[in-house]
Amino acid sequence: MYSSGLPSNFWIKLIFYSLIFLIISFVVYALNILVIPITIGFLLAFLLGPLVGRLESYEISRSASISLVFGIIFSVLGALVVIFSPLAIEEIQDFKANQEKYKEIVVKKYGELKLRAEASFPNLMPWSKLEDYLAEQSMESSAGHFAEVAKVVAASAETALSFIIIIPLVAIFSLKDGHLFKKWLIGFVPNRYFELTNEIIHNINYQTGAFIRGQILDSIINSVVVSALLFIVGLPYYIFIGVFAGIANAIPFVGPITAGIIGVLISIITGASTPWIVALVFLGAHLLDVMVIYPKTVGHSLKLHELVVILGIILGGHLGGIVGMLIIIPIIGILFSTTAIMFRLLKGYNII
Amino acid sequence: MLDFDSIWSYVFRRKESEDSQALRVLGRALVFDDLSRSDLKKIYRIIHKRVYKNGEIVFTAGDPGVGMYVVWEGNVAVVVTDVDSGSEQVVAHLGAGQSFGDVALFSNSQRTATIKAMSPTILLGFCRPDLMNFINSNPILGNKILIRLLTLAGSRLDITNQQLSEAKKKLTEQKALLASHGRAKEESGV
Repeated sequence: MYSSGLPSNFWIKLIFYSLIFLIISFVVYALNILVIPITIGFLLAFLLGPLVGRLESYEISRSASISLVFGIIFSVLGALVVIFSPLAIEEIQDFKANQEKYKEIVVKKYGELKLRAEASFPNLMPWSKLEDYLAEQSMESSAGHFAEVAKVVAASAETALSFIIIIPLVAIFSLKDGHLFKKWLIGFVPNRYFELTNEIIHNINYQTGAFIRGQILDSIINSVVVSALLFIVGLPYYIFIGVFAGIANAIPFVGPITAGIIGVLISIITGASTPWIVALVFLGAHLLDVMVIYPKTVGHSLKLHELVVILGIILGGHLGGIVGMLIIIPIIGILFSTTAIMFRLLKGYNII
Repeated sequence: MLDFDSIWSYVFRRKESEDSQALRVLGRALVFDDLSRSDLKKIYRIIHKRVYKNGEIVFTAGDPGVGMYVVWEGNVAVVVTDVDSGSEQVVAHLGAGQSFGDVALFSNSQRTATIKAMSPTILLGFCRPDLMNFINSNPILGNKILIRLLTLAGSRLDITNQQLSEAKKKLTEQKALLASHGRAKEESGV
């Protein structure tokens, strides 16, 4: 009857797993709008897992531990909003008020740069093409499209609302019942691979969790350090630049340089602080990160070769712009470490 | 404090009686037999239920060991390979409430025997990575389990030592016997 030599229940299993795959694909497709907040929710659960575990070790129930952690998070976020939102609003208003002045300075500096460059290297830059391009961009943005803008703002508000609701919900339920999900998933694994799967999941969880937690902590510390240093040297918009520098720091090489260039440009445009002092601030913050903060937070668990990092950034930028550049290195790192772990364990079980 | 309604428990709902039954079986295992029901419930969160067919191999001697198992239903055979003849010998049968593979919970050593299901069998699997996480979040209970595991390993080591010294004693006696036979042969000139 089964002349192919396949096990009698092969086709039943094949149909069953195909169905499961189809259902998962459908759910992912149907929920594609929610993929990002759900992913962030899972990442948040990764981040907070050890903290909840630590509270549990003091004989506090898991539910109570999760409540306590989220209570503290919401309180801290609330306090940060109360303390920093006036400063941030002030920075935005200041920028709006000085927008025309800054435009004039940019035009003036551009003119000076063009003159100097032309004097030293005549016909090197296609200035007219560049000016045409910039004028076109400016026309496009100043054309307004108020209806479009209103639509985008409304959509952003809706997305923000869904993020605010979904992220904590996913994080809370992952922390509370993530073990049931893991058990359910492992339940599908054939008995022969049960222990192996358990070990692989644990190792990947451990490495990925440590990396994500480290990276987020590194970004937060960098944001605080850069903001504080820029505040000391008297650069305006220090909060925005500091937060940007912290986030951009997750993109190796490109991130810190971009943040530094933006800082120096703002210093030139606003004339608020000496550009080379601002450059020194960024250099100092980067050295502090490389020598002290990064080794303490992320460590060397997912150390990648510089060439892989550069190629990865180019690929990330090509696939998903700035967001792609931001997440490609952790993804490559996780893939590398997952492959290494699986290879070691599969070898140990004589499967490969 | 909030008490969350567990969404997953609706998705992955299991009959209450099944959980109680599993807890009862778990409580009979030597590693967990001194734990209270509330402690067992905590452990049960990280236990995996595995179903085996008659004749299916649970693990093979030489495999890297990661988990310990408690027989819930059915029975398994402990099979070892004879070093001299290479033939397989069943050295024990384990039934409901009995456990095996516990050394893997605190050691990276390889499995020393093959375990084979001798009937349709349900096992409760408990893995080292889960135990390590459990120790982090429940250090008191986790250490209690570890101490229990080490006590069991210690008593097994005692038995092995005893058997080893008995075997040594027998070997010395045999050697002495052989030597006296040899002397007797020499004296008789055969």
